[in-house]
Amino acid sequence: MTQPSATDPAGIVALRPALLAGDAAAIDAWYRAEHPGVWRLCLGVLADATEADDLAQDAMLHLLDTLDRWDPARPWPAWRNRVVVNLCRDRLRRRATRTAHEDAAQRAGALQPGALPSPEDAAQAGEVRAALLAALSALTPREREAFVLVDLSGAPAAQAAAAMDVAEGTVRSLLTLARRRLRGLMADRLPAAGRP
Amino acid sequence: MDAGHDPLREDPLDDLSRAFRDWPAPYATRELTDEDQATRRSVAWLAVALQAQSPQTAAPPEALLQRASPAGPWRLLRAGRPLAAAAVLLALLGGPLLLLSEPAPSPAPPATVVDERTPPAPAAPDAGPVAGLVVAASRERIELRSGPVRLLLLSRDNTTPREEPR
Repeated sequence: MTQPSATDPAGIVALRPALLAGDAAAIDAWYRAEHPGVWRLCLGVLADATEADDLAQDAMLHLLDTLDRWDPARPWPAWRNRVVVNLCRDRLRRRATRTAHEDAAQRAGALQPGALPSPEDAAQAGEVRAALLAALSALTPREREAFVLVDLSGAPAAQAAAAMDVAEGTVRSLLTLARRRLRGLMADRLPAAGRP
Repeated sequence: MDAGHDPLREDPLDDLSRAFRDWPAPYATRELTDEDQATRRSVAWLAVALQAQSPQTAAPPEALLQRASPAGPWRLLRAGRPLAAAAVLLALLGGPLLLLSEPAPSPAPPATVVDERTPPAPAAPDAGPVAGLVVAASRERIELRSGPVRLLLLSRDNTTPREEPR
């Protein structure tokens, strides 16, 4: 039923008619294929696992509800990323007015000194997540969007620019700033060379 | 300072100012592959760490599945919404009136326009207000009845002829 490809990993083009018709099996298949990526994007942009759980589900509902407005001739990841980024911005705006000071204080000390664990070490998954979120929290929200979309999720800069509604040059500048900041935070703590 | 001397109007400064304005903004960005090794390793660590993360639940939430149900009551109701609304309205209007009017026989016909030339409608089975909903149906009209309330749906042929386009 699905025909996944690099630009359409969830096979959304093939699934679209069934999704619009409300086929439960198609929705289930689409959700299982799409949700992890949407969740990771939320996690990266929000830098908060609990909020990512909540918002990723909202985003999936929103994507399904607005599927009839997506033109299949245009790349699905661009549409999806724009929807998700906009929802993340709304959430961050609300968070900013709610608990800005508490959140900032919590995250400031989260990146513990010392060597970072291997990111693939399942035994240290908790530490890896904490370090990941702490590092991302050091970026501004716009830097985080650009960095997560391009460097961590592999989206082309032009597509990220469309998702963020900014010029491509702006995305590249944000990427440079983000990389520089992260290098300063992490370079001395990375595991020994030879591992990621 | 000399009152007639305006440094901003000096040719060399004008040229410099123009050159500064026209100077293309430095492309202050590099591809990741052009960054130094420490930066690339930092980015790689974060990319692998993010990919290693996964959501707690893989199954779609109930809200999504309810919305997806193809033959579910919600979707059917949405498809037949106008008819369902008319039926509910008729039942709501007719039901209480029927209860109020029993056991007295139904008085004079309601104010609804009834075409006397049409043959009398077949008697509806006496099984409550909803059971006898459709009393008569023809090409020109459909008569619905719920208790003492009748609803006549007339086709366009019975109305004033439409104005022909010029």
